[in-house]
Amino acid sequence: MRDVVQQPRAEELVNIRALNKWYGDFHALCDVELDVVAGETVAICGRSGSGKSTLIRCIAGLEEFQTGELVVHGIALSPQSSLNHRKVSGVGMVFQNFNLFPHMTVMENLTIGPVEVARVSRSEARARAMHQLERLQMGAFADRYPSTLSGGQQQRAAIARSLCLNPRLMLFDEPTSALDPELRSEVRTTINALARDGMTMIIVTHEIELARDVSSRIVWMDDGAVGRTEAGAPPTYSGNGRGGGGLGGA
Amino acid sequence: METLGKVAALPAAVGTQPHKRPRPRVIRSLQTQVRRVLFDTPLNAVVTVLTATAIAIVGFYVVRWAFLDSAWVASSPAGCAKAQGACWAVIVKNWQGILFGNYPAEQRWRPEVMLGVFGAALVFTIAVNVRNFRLTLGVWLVSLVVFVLLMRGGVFGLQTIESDRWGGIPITIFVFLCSVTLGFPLAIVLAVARTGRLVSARTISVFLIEVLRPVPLIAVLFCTDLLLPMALPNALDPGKLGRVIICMGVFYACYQAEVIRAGLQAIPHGQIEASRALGLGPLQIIRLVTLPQALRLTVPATVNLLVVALKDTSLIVTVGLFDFAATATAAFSGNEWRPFSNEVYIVVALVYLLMTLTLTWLGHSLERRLAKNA
Ligand SMILES: Nc1ncnc2c1ncn2[C@@H]1O[C@H](COP(=O)(O)OP(=O)(O)OP(=O)(O)O)[C@@H](O)[C@H]1O
Ligand SMILES: [Mg+2]
Repeated sequence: MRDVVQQPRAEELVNIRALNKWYGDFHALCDVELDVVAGETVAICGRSGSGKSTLIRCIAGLEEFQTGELVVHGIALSPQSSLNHRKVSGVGMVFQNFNLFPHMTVMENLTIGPVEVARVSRSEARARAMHQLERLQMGAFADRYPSTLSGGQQQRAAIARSLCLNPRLMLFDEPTSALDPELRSEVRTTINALARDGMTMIIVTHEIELARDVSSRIVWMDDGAVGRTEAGAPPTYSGNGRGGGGLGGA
Repeated sequence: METLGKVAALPAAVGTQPHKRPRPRVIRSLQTQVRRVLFDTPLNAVVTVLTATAIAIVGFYVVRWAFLDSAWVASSPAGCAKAQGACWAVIVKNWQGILFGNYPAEQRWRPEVMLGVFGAALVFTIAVNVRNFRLTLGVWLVSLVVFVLLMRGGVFGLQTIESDRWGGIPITIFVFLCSVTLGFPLAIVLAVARTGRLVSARTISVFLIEVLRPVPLIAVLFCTDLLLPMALPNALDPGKLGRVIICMGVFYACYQAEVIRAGLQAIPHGQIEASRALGLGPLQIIRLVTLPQALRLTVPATVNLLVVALKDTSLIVTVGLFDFAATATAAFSGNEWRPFSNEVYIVVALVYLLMTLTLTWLGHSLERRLAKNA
C-alpha cells in the first residue's frame, strides 16, 4: 500500500457521478458526487437519516441504485447489475455491529475470505490471518468465538477479517458507535494506524474526533445530498516516527 | 505496516497479572442441595410432598403388578392364569418373533448381528459426541449397506432372503435411518429453494411442501405404494421397501424443510451482508454462513421431528411391511396368547421409549456442545 503513496499521480479508487437512489418512492441519495484517490481518508458525517449508510453501502456493492455512475476500484457498478452478481473486489467493509460469523472462531472468520474467495491455501490463509491479528493486538484471541470477545475486540477482529483480503479500499460504517466510549479508543487507534500506513478509507461516523483525527477530508451529507466538504486533519501525527508519510494523495 | 504493532499499549490478552485469582468453588452437601431444590419455599415443599405421595402410590401398584404378582415362565397361557399380575411369559416365549418377525428361524443370527451393528454405530456416535460429523455419518451409511447385504444375503454364500420376510426392530430402525438420510438433504434443498431467489425452484418447493404436508402420512404411503409401480417402468421400481422409504423420506423432508427455513430466516441479514462484502457467492454464503447457523438453531425442532419420524415407521404395516409394532402385535393376535396384549404393548412402548430417549439425549448433548462454541 505504501508504494501507491509514492506514485506521482494519485490513483482514483472511487468515482461517483450523479448517483441517485430511491427506497420505494423515498429519494435517499440525490445526485451524489464523490471521488476518492488512493491514500486518502474521507470521513462522511451528517445527521441521522441523511443517507451516509446508504452511500457507503452502494460503494460496497450491497445496495442497488437507480441512476448515475459508480466506479469502485476499476469496476463499474451499473444500476442494472443484479445485486447478487456484484462482486466488489479489493474493497473491505466494516459494519457498525461487526457481523462476525458467530459459529466460527476468530481464526476461521479471518481465513474464510482468503480460502473461499481468493483461493489461497489454508496454511497461507492462517499465516495471513495471524499477521493481521498480531498487527491489531489480537493474536491471543485467534481461537476464541466472537461471543466471548468484548465489543472492541470483536470490531478489531472484523477489521482484521477485511484486511485479510488485502483490500485497496476500506469502508467503515460507524465502526465505533456500537461501542462504549472506553472501547472506542481501541478501534480509533486501529483506524489511525491504518491511515498512517496509507490505506485508502471512507469512514462514516458521528464521532467528530474520529473524523477530524484521521481524515484528510470531511464530507458532510444532508438529506441525501453531499453538502460542504471541509479539510480534515493535517497529515501529521504526533508520536509517529514516520512524520507525515502516512498520507498521500490529499 | 510494521509500525502498527507498536501504536498503542492496548489491553492485550488476559495475562498473568498478580491480582488474578482462581474462581472460588462452592461445595454444597447433598442435604443442602436437596433442600434448595425441593423444599426452599413452603409451596415447593407442599408440591414436593404431594408429588412424592402420588408417585409412591402409583409406583406401589405398578411394582406389584409388574414384578411381585407376575409370571415370567409358562409354556402356555394357562400357566399364567394363576398369576394376579403381569404375564411376562408372553414376551419370554415369543421374543424372537416380536423382535424379528417372520425372518427364517435358522437365519435369525443375521438380524441379531444387525442389531449389534446398529448398537455399535450408536456407541460410536456417543463416543465421538458427533464431534466428527463426517465420520459419524460414514459409520451410519456403512451400517445401512451392511444391513442390506446381511439381511438380503445372496453374497458371501448367504442364503437369499427377500425383503418381504424381513421384519421387526431391524426394519423399524432401517426404515427410519434411510428415510431420514434421504429426507434431510432433500429438506435442505427444499428450504434453500424456498428462501432463495430462483422463482421456479421456489415454486416447486412451495408446491411440494404445501401439497404433501396436509395429507396424512398413511394416505401418502398408500398412494405411493399403489401409484409408484404404475408410474415407473418395472426396472426402476425400487420394490415395496424402497417405495416406503422414498415416501417416508419425502414426507419427513417437507416438515424438516420448514424447520430449516425457520432457521434460515432467523439469521440476521448482517451475516449475509458481511459475507457479500467478503466476496462470497450466494451458494458459498448458504453453505458456509447461513445454513450452518440455521442447522444449529434448529437442533431442538429437528430432534422433535426425528422422534415423530421414528414413531411414524409403525405406519408401514398398512402397506404390508412388518415393523416392530406389527411383529409384536402378531405375537399375540390369532393365537392363544391373546389375553396378554397389554404386556406386549407395554414392552413395545418401552422399546420405543428407549429409542426416542436415545434420540433426544443425543440431541441434547449436541445442543450443549454447540452452545459452548457459539
Ligand atoms: N431499507 C430501507 N427501506 C426504506 N428506507 C430506508 C431503508 N434504509 C434506509 N432508509 C431511509 O433512507 C434514509 C437514509 O438512511 P441511512 O441509513 O443511509 O441514514 P444514515 O445517514 O446512515 O443515518 P444514521 O446516522 O442514523 O445511521 C433514511 O431516511 C432511512 O429512513
Ligand atoms: Mg447509518
